[in-house]
Amino acid sequence: MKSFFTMINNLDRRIIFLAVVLAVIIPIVKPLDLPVKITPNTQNVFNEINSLKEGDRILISFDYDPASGPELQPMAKAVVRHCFRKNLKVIAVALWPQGPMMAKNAFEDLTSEVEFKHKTYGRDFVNLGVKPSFVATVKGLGESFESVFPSDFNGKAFNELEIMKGVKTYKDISLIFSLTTGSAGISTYVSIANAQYGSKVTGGCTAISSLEYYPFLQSKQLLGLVEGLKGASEYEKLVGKPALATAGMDVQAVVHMLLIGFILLANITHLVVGKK
Amino acid sequence: MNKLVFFNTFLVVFFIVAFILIVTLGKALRSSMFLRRKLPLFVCFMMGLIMICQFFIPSENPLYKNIDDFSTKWIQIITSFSLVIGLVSLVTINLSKFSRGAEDWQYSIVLLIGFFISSFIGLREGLEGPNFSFIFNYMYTPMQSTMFSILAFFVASAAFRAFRARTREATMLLIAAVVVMLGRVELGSILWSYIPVIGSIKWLDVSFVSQWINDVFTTAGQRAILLGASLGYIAASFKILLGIEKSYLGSEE
Repeated sequence: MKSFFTMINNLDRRIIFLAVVLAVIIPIVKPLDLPVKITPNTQNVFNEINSLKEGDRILISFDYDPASGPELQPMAKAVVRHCFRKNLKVIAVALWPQGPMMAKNAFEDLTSEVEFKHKTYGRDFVNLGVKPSFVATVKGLGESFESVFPSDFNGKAFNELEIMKGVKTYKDISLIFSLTTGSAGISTYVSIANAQYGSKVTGGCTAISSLEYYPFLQSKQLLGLVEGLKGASEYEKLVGKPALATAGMDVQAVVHMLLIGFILLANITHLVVGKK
Repeated sequence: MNKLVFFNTFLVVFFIVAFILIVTLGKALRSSMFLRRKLPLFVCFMMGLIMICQFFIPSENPLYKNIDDFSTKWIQIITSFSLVIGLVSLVTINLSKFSRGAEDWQYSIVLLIGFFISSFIGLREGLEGPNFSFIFNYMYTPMQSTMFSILAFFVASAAFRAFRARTREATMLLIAAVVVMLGRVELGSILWSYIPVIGSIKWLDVSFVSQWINDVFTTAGQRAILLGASLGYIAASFKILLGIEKSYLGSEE
């Protein structure tokens, strides 16, 4: 028996890698269709967006790059889907250089669906792009949107965009939703847009960074938080359109169980074999 | 309005004149203590003062707002120049590595080819162009996603080798980690419900306990880190603004 645990203790890491590969592939091939339970933080974001009136403007900040895309892109699409259904005006900005491309892909995916074929760029949604220095950008939007973004991502002048008519500062925006993966994002909007200009801020982030924003949630400076792939799958359920995040949660569930299994096995081995 | 135009023009002229003076008057002026030490400290102090004032003293005064707007634009301009410096540095270092035949010079070639091709296509057809979109969607995105997803393998291997209950603190961390991991996925809740007695108690549901750990213990720790870091940040900022911390100006010589 002890020799078995000694073998486990010296387990080749390639076997661990193979187990992870299988844990990823099997749920993709054979989905588990696990139930999705809505957490209060996700529900709060949904309620905030749901409480907006038709024609209200929402600022969605794409503050991530493709590395976080598997978690945040499904979330972005679920939130934009909700906004489109509510006939909100979606203004996309970015604090990360790759953000505008992520926004562009999200808009293209949604407007290719029959339900949103009628949504027009410049009238129902806009992609303003990115500017250097995320602090100066968020600060500048509080003084003048046109000053920070004189043109959109495609180079079209600010005053030619129908959606931007009458938009001067944060006062003309009903809600901010930031999709965050690093230092630029939710914290910046909370510390400037909310603290200085009193804007309502919500957000979504990668699971690993979600705990960073809990103090803001408890102080109500952040009104809701969609956390990682799980949050994205919850939002997909709330908008009634299960998609990539829901499918991804099956994989995440199995990989989590595998990791727990490895941790338990390692500790049992540690007890039996000893420190060596 | 005239006042604002005058103010903007004054600042632009001031910086242009200062730049011309530094370039034309040569080494004597550049090496003077005033230009190398006192002027940067003064500019740093003034900019810091402007940023503090505009945050803590809101005002609708047009001149005040204009200074605020102007300083924001200057931050963006300076950041843009720092990007250019970064790009020039990247190209220079990699060209040098390639020409010297330094270790792993092959990677430098790949980087330079990727840099110049994507820059050329991006500048030629814009970021909305089909070729640039192709590079972004079918090369850049998969490569970044691959790099990130490799983490799962390393985490699994590291968890197996390092996550062991060697001490009391490590055991507590281990239990908390397992509960949070179980609580993050629905499968965890389902499996938890099969545990005799505990599984049937609603307030001991793993997702509830996981959220409670996050809300109470983790948030308390996170808040402490946030406050500590912020206080340190304020102290460091004051040291820079008051000229106590001058290392960013380079050496005295």
